[in-house]
Amino acid sequence: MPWVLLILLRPAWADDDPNDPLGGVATDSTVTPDARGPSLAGGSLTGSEDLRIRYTHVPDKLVDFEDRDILDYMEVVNRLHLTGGNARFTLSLSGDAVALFGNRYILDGELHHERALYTDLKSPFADALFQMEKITAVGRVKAGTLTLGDSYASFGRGIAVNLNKNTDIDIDTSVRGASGLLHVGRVDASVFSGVTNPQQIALENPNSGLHRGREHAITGARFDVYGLGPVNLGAHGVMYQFARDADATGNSLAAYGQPVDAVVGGVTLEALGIGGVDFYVEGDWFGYAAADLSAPWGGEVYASASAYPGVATVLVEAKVQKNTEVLNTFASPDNYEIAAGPTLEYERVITEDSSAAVNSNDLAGGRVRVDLRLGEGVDTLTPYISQAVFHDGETGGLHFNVTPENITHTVVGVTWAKGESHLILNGGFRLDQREADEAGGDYGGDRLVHADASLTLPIAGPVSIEIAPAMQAFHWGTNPQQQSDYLDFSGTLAVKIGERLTVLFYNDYSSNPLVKSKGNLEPLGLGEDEYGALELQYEPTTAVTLKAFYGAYRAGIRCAGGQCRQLPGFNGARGSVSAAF
Amino acid sequence: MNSFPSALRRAVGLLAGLALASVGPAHAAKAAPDFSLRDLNNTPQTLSQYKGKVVLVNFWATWCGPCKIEMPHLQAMYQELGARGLVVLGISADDARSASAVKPVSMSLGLKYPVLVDKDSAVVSQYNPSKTLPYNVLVDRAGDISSVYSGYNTGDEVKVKDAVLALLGQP
Repeated sequence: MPWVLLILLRPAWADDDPNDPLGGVATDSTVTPDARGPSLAGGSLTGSEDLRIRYTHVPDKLVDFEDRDILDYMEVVNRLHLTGGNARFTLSLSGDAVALFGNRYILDGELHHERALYTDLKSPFADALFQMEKITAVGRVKAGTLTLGDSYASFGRGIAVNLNKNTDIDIDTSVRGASGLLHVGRVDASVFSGVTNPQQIALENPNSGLHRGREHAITGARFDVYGLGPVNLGAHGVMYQFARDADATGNSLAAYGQPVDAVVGGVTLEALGIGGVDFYVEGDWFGYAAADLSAPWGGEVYASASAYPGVATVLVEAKVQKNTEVLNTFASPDNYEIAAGPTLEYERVITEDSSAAVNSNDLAGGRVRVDLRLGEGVDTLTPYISQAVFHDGETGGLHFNVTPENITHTVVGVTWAKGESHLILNGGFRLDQREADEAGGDYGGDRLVHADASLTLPIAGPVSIEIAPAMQAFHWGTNPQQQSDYLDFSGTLAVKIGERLTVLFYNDYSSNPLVKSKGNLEPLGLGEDEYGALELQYEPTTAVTLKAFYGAYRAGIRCAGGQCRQLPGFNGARGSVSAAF
Repeated sequence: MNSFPSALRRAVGLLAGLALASVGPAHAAKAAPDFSLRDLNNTPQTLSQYKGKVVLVNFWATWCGPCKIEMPHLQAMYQELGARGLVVLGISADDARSASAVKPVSMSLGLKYPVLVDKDSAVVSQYNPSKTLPYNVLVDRAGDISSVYSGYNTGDEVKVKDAVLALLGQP
């Protein structure tokens, strides 16, 4: 580690020294010395602050106490992220604090109801918890970067390992350990080793029953060779030692003492501009040694080609995957995935049914997308069409089918912008057609029609509106766990008044019986599937947003970054502050 | 019956105070952490190589609708003010699995400025830990963060351009 200490102790003026053995930072030769300001190496402290205060109304009643809202509770969550250092070295800390109030009902000394904040985590308070979620120290020189603490890892297209921030669905799993990236000529070498560190406290979703995540040991290395003509080559390997249970002793490194459970090796080839086409091919082989993993091996091949003829952009992707999801066996229960390759899906409309195909252990297929850019500058019209085709050979488990199915998914859309008006429109049709069984049994197909849009229009003076409706209608074929057909709708009307104030009206509707929430508009004579909410947003500066929300939205599955999560609905009031400083 | 304890008021007050304390002016000199990422041609790009220029770092993703509305405005700004010393660096916050779509989306948007890929969240976790998109960081000629812009609403590009012009100075 001595070179790490050297980086930390180096004076700021060393950064521009061309004789510096650690390598001065590159400078732009087109910039005259007089035009330069002070060095980038000046120290600084930046950060972000997110505060959420939620009053949650739970429509259900406690038995024998039906006359009062005992289950209602209040929650305060605060996330503070600080980054300090200079251009050479930074130290980042990210801490979460959460507290529940009104989460326990005691009458005459008897406990009738309790919403426990955590189980096996340590805190001096029964209903409050602080977690130092991420600690990261980064040292940089021209030849590379060394990171101690929490960092993220992904190789290739994420098939072998893909741990990163997925804040859209409140997932943020890092690797706590050490990682390094070294540039030597045309070669990049990166290595990492550590244990998984999932974010414990959720910012946007309810915190209840928080517990230690299992700390899996992961070690990986990747080498890339660039500039072999138009070709770049890469190879990587990743080794996994999975923790079966949270370690009661608190020894984060316990998984390192376990036998190796899985190894993944992969190679990548990228060729840019061959006949005007960019190519990418990756192949990964999975070896599973553990008896409690459901397959002895797995593999995936992914390939893409993109071309840009005239005003068109064409992207073709294809993949074959077998037993790759097995790798996530011990991470999925903690609500994240260790590896997630390209899904080739329009993830906004992934349902309980289609998420099974995303997470299939036997899937082959591809997608073609063509975009046309019509117009120049900021006033443009960009229509597109996308066609995906898959064969999903896995049945049982989370799959709602007993025979393999063939999937087609067509999506068309357009992005239009003119002046201060713009429109984003997407719509599609998906068919999961089940194959007949050996006896000729016909199981039909699942059909999904979906559409979503966002239209922004100036109204008068400083007032503009945005209308954002989205719907999906689902019809089931025949399946053993027969469900009901359903319709989902959500709509947002945002009225923006000047630069700082926005008023938003939300409406949700769902007839999906799998949705575990109740609407809040019954007092208005509407059904229990109807949800409504009002929100005020105020931005005192460009880096600060204040929000006040009252109402309800529905629960449901939400997918982002190749991961899907059942998120709870909300009914109540909340205030939030988000600021960068 | 359980009632919210007085600690509630203290806790909420403390946290709200902490949050609101950050709402104040954010114009103190703050050095922008350097980073090194590869662009769409796999050429390494560092922030420090643009020292002496005004750099607008734009975080975006292929699945982010408002980003796609905003980026043509940034391209127009780059085209107009590039000769005066403005550099726009688009940093894709897409993770590895959607990396193949980054160049096609950039091309369909007509982007000419460098687009970098941060597929393992190394840079976004430093600059924009909550991963709000789009997210712009304006870095002055001295390498200090001048201002940040979270999210995008119609007309926001005017505010960004005004700030860029102020940093570029008189032509």
